[in-house]
Amino acid sequence: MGNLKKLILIIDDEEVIAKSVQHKLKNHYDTVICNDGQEAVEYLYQHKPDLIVSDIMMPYMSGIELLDKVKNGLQETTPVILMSSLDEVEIINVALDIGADDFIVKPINMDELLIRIKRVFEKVENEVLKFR
Amino acid sequence: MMKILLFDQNELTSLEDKTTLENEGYEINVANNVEQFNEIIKLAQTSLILCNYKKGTEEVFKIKSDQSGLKNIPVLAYNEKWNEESLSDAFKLGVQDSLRKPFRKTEVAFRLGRYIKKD
Repeated sequence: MGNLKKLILIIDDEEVIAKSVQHKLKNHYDTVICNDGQEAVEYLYQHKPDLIVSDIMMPYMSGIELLDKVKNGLQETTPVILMSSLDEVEIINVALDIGADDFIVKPINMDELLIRIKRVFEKVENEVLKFR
Repeated sequence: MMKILLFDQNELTSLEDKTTLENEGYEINVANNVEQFNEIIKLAQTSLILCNYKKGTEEVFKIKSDQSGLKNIPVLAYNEKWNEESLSDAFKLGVQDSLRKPFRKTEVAFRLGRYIKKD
C-alpha cells in the first residue's frame, strides 16, 4: 500500500484564494475546500483533516470563531493555520490566546505557506515522538 | 526590563524598523555590527533577537554558537522576499520564525507574541 497523503482543509470565502492555495498544495497534500466557517464546522463533524488553513474574515462564522470551536472541543489536536489581510492586532492576540498554530499574512506568499505547513506537521510529529 | 535586540548591518533600515516596532509597544535595542551586538547582549537583558536575514543572521548564529549563555534566546529573521529556499535555509540555520518586510502589525503581533509579552 502506498503512502497516504495528509489531508488539508482550506477555508476561504474568496474562491480564487482557496483554489490558489489548493493548487500550491496539490503535489504534496490532499485538499478539500469549504467556503465559510459554518460549512467547515459541518465538514469537521464528519471528517478529520490533518490540518486546517483558514481565512479569518468570512461570512456566517469567522476564522476566529472556527478556531475557538476546533481548539475547544471539536478537534482539539488538529493544527490550525490562520491567514488574513486584517490589520487588527487585537484579533491576532485572541487567535494566539486560543492556540492558533500559525498565521500568514495575505496576500499569501505560497512558498511561505508550504514551508509553514511542513513546519507545523514536523512539530506535531515531534510531539507524538515525545510521548512514545 | 526584557528587550528585543535588533541586528541589522544596514544602519538606516534598522533605525526605521526600531521606530516601527517601538510604535507597536516593543522595547528595542539596535546593533549594526558584531561589536555592538556583543556589547548590548552583555548589558541589556534580551528576550529575543530579531535580525535581517541577509545582513545579520549568519553573524548572529556564529555569536550564539560561541556563547553558551545565548543558546535559549530565540532568533527571528526578517526578509523582504522569502522563497522556499531562503525560508528553508533560515529554519535550518536555527531561526525560530520569520517575518516579512515591510512589517505588518498583525504578523509582528503573532510572531513576537509567541515569545514575549509587552510591558
